[in-house]
Amino acid sequence: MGDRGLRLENEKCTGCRLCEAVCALSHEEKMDLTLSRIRIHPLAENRFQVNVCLQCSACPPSEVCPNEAFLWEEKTGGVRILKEKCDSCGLCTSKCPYSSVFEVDQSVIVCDLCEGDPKCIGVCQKRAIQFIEKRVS
Amino acid sequence: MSGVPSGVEDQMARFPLRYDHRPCLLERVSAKIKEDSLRMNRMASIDLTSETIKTEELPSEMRRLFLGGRGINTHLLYQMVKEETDPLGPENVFIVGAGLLTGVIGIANSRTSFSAKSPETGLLGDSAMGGFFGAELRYAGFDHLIIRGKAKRPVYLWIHDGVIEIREATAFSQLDTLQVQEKIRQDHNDPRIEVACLGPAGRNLVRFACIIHGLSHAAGRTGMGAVMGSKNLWAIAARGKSSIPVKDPAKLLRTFHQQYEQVTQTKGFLASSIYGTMIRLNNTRTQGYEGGLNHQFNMMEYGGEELDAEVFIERYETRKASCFGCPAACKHMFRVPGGIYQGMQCEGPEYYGCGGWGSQCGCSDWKTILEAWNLCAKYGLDVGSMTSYTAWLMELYEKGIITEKETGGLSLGWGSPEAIIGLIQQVIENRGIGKLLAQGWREAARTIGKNSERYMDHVKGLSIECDDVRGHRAQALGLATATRGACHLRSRYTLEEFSLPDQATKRLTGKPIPQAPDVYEGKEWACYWTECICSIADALGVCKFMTKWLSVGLLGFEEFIDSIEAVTGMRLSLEEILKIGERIYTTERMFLVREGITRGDDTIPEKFFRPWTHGPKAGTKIEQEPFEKLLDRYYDLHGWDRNGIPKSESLEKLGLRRSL
Repeated sequence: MGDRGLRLENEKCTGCRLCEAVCALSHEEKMDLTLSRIRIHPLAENRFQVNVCLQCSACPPSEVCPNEAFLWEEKTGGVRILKEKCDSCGLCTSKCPYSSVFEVDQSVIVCDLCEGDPKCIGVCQKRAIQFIEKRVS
Repeated sequence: MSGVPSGVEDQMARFPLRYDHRPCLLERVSAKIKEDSLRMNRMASIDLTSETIKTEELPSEMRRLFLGGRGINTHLLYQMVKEETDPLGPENVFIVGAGLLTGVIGIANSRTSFSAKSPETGLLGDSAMGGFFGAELRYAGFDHLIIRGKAKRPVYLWIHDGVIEIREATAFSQLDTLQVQEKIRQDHNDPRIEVACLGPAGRNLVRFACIIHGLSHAAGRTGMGAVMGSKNLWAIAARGKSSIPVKDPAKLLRTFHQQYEQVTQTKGFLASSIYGTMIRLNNTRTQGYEGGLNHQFNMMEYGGEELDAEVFIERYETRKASCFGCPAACKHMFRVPGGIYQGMQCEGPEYYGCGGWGSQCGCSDWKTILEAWNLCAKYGLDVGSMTSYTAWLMELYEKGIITEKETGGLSLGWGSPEAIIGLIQQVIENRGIGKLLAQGWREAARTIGKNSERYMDHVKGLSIECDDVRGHRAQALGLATATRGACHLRSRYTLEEFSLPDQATKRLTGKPIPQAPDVYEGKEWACYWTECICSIADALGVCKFMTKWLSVGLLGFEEFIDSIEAVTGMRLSLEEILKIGERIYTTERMFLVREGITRGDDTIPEKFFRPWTHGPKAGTKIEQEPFEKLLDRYYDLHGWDRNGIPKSESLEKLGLRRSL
């Protein structure tokens, strides 16, 4: 795992969904928010819950994927899914404490940190998503 | 081009109508549409009388000529509605249209337009809202919905992944707008469903009922809620998981990043993200162009300082929220911490409500304004009309034209919280003078008699906002000629208030516009340019508060051209995009001409020809003669005759001759 990761401040999120749009478009070249690796979940009274992989290490690959399709990328610190090995069993989805591994079209998608330069950061005007140095625990 | 979808064979299967609430198992069909939607934009014709639904691809010719949103809506409306159409009859056509860019990544691509013949004015009805509804409608596979007929019993449309179902809505009969949306989400067990719905006002056919989405996004003006209610259509719910076709995703992403960079660095953006529309409260008060006590004065005599955005933010605002794709987040969330409305919370209010109940009705109590706003959102009443009608009745009461006998015991003293809240309740409960008001102000004035219509400030039947345009000539012209009646979102040249130097306006609009607000010369171009930018923004689904309509550094035609090219592959020149703007505006004008509107209707209320009484520019007024000359020049610029009727060669030039 890398030394930087995403941090969220849900109370700052205004729900504009630009992060979802930029994520879907840059990863899949489609204007389809169901292909986004970050999801804004609406709560009551215009409050929002941001769901995205926080590189929290709750999912060591050996435990979450029997097919070895789930990898932590050394270089970027993000997760990579090997599509050809994934049989969409859903184990990784259920393991994630932040509900941030998403099932889409017989496969799963998860934040890969855009090769170390997360696109969602740049479009979050209220700084609800930040890319920060991880604290040493 | 015919542009009328009738006669076109169904391209998609017809879906069975369902009246139950079982989860719908149409995955196979949905999957097919998911593939299809990568290639096409679709529109649906829905006949509620016969319960038939036809879907077809949006003709590319229509896209090219009118783009989408308000543009295509207006075109379809002109084709489908006739002079004799009764606005509340089943023959009126209710058109929902998402903009060409709505739901696509960009700056505030959130708007949806609703069009029909207006039951409030009897003329062109058209109103737009922000939020997430339009985006979700497009993700569900539809850009435009054309709704005709009248359902036998209350229904709502459930639109999801290319499927449109007509469902039973009788259970909504006692619910407010918030509860309707919540019920639909619960019934389908999906919090992401976006709903545009009616409250009690729309269901009771109050002539100025609006359509509400979310907490207080409203398609407010011209009574679109009443049209929806007259069709027994109580809500439209959308949820989509497919994609919006984009020609060049890489270019779209580049364009978006450039625009994001450009917009977020401007002062206009900063001001919007802090104050939203409420920033205008301070300007109008200190400059002396806020309408006071039903436009009798141009300033509030006392209590004005209280009605300031800063005061609201400090005392009541809890946080900010956004519409789809908008980094500015100008929606205020508020909570009332004490008093009789303690704990009341909602979203808003916008300038219209603050100025309308504030200076226009003489109320400087925030809590009353917030409660009135909250009630209008929950009941689905248009704040613009409600505030103007309240101010009108207050003036009639002051002049002794109406008394407690007519008002149902309500004392309508200026600024009275009981009167402001009481009138809203009366309209909803259909009693007292509210019963009369619900029929529209014209009907109310007819019943009251005693020249009461003279005190109503309106243009083409639509009541005037709280702004007083006497000091700004281009704005006065814009108000007089706006196609849906008195409106600041069609042709108000907002930049006139900044007194920009000639070089700046030349760079911005292509021609220099005189700096001084009280000069008549050259202001026809300001009005024309604003009409074009507003038409294009509405056709694209871009919020005007993120365009040059509001502030020079924001989005303009160049930015729109790039976005349109990335999404459709169609590269427009500056002349072409202006021409599209003019085409949309002229189509609207032709709708009005067909209804009998001529030069005599392109005017402002008599009050505005009298001088301002207060403030730094006391004495300012609109002078009749130069104003008429300005109107002549404006008609010439458009290629309309001296009666305001588009000449046939002008229609020819716009390619409208055959379709109109």
